[in-house]
Amino acid sequence: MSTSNDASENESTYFIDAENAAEMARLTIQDRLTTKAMGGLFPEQADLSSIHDMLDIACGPGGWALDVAQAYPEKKVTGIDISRLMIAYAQAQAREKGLTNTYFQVMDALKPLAFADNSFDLVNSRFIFSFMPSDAWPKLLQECKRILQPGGIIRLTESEWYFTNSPAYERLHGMVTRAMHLAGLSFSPDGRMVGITPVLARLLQNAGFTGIEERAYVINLSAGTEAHQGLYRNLLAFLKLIQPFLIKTGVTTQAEADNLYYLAMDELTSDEFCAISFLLTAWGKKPA
Amino acid sequence: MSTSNNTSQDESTYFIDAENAAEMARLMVQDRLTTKAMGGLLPEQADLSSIHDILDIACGPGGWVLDVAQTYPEKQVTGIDVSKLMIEYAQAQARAQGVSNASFQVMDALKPLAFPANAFDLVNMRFAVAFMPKAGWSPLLKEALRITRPGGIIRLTEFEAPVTNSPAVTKLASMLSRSLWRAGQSFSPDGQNLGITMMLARLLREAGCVNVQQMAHIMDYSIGTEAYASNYHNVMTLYKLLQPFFIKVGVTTQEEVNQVYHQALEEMRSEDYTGVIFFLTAWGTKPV
Repeated sequence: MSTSNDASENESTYFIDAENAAEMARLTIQDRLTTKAMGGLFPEQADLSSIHDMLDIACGPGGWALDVAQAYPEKKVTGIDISRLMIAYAQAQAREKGLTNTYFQVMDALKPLAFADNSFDLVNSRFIFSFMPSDAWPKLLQECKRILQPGGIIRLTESEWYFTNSPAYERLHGMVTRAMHLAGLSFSPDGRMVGITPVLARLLQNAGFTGIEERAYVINLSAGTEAHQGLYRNLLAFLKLIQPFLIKTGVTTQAEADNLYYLAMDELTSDEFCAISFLLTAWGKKPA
Repeated sequence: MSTSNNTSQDESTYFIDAENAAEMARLMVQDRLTTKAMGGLLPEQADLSSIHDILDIACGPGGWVLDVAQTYPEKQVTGIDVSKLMIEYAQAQARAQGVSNASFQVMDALKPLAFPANAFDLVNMRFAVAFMPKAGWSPLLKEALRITRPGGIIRLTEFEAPVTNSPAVTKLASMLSRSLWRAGQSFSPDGQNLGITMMLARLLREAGCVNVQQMAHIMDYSIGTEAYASNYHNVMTLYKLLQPFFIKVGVTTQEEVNQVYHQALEEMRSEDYTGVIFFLTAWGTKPV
């Protein structure tokens, strides 16, 4: 979920500072909301018996990897992330939970992955659009194919974010997708959407994966739902942390962003607030 | 899918002339595409044993009703639509297919429904966004609740605008969202989205439904998929028929929309064309 190149070499492509505790807390909430909405850790995989070694790319604070390791003590789960803070936190969590089947490493998903060929039975990633330049996808998926066993599974989960009835949130959302478009992190032709969902299956296909399937999920985050509180805390952090990115890309000013931020947070607490998020998982196999 | 008030009284709210043969053919295609993408006629209903009488509101040419009637010969399925053309076609189809458990009536979903209380076990409606003013949802759902038996189900399926890598298809989708917004048929604060999916659960709850649940579905109609050809024809017809609506509400000119329309058809034939549509089904129970 978070990545950046070595700051001494060049700038991070992740739209928020990855070494930030607020961002880590936000990702932890997001992980939990997502797994819950999807009804499981890999709800579309009917048979996990042949899956022993798993990799989670851009694992953030390790929510998914830790949950998988706990649910399947007989399987090995590796998580990689560019952020030292996230990886240290994930490692501490694993120790605290007494997990011995998790491995966390600092690694940049935008560079060749430091794993041997055919190392994993399943490679997972969720919401990596936030740091993936659109032209970096083919390279990463090639790397995933290389480190997967023949017959191994790749699964990608991405989202078009939220549809809401909050005018201020919608304006901010439009700014974020426009800024991503300007930063080359978008597949949308006009920057109005994230635009990642329609290309997921195609990216897998072009990378040489077969048996590609897709499944959609929905999270209702309206006022009164269980997820609403999580969304509120998520956006409270996200819409603040994203401000430098919005200003850097020139889609807004600090004053306008601040004003919209307060309006949006106010509208989010209204009883009338409605929001929904669609997620798409696309998965395929490395040919045997 | 189609409705209009009596044209002698006032204007139809449906975004296309409902008495149009091309629109009827398009709706048949759309019915089939949708059912396929959703993986069935009632994919979220695990147990249909207590469901005997089913109503489909705004049934168009009757695709869903006829499929349900044929799949479940022991159930009684009724379809209503404001269009005489659609209803006559649906009736003829039922006769031609020898389906005796489907019946069709011309009826306007925006007026009180001519059914007694507690007449149905399940009331279905798909894609009402095409004709439903914002203020029309609440009265219709109250009517739906009245004619549903205690313990019976109301189920609504709507969609969000397509997400695609085609600039021109994105433009057409945006014209549709903005046109519906201008026509008072959108809950979106700014008309950037169709803005209906986020509202479905709320609308059901406000009408008095309990145990409201949601399920998402995805239709991938990228080039090379099974849905591609049908969807191409659907888009070709839909955006031809929608042009008068777009121009009437003032989101475009004939000249501009012609140009975008032809560009969209061309982009849809490009070998890297991808697109998806997210559907949402929300359903709830009438309290016992």
